[in-house]
Amino acid sequence: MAHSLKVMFLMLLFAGIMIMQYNLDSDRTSTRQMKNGLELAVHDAALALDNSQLSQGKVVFDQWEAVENFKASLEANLALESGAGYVYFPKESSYYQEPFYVEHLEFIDDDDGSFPQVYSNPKYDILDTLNGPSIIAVVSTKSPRYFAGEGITIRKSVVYEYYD
Amino acid sequence: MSTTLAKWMTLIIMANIMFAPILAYIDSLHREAVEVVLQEGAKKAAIEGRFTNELVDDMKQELVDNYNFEEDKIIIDATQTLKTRNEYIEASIEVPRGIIFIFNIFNSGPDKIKKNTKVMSEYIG
Repeated sequence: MAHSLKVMFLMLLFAGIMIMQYNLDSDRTSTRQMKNGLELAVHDAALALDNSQLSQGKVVFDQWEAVENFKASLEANLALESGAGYVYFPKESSYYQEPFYVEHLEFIDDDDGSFPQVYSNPKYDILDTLNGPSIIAVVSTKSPRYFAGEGITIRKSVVYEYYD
Repeated sequence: MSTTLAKWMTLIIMANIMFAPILAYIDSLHREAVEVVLQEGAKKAAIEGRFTNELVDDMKQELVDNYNFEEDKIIIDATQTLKTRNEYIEASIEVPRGIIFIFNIFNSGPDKIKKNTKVMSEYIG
């Protein structure tokens, strides 16, 4: 009896450690993929410039097109489908299970001021020196879970800037 | 006889389960390696306007040198025609997946890791 109890205890301990490992691993994977996906998305968004302003030497984002590029990139690289507004739902093939929220998307260009400038956003704890026109994006989702337990909320922010 | 058989079977299953976490961790690191190489490649390709032959070779070499993948088994499929600004460049890397169980008695899923990426070119002709 004592022997089987010992074996059962060890098995439980082992299963617990394994579940923890898989869950931590899924957090790590989602964090990395979100950061990578977001970096490409703001890169694509930053390519949408207003040509008429550009000819006058000003870098001003074409915000409508930039948002479209941003969306298309997130959809392609993270296997999402865009829903209403700034919510994205994972496709069947996606690694994720919970919706994505674009919490913040901000364009700072030659229309709004001079560079370098200090950008601070206390809500998302962003503090950065912008050396040129920039796009700031914050995305969040819940990390997927294979095993029991609520996933943690992962929030990633990226600042992409032009620099000359 | 039956006790011996049962003991061996338990031993095999136990060994499989015991090594599963570390092998799953290695599998996850392999995925990370592929993703990181693809991501960095995509960023460079966006500037060049395409995945040049050197860029593809560099990516392959990095997977071989730093992460011990077999060179012949890495398949990189990437846009090699020049794309100008606002056009998309795509790439995918496919590598064989390592083992998850040391004895292959459980289903361990697909035997390949495949990752895709898509990025806009910033090349101005």
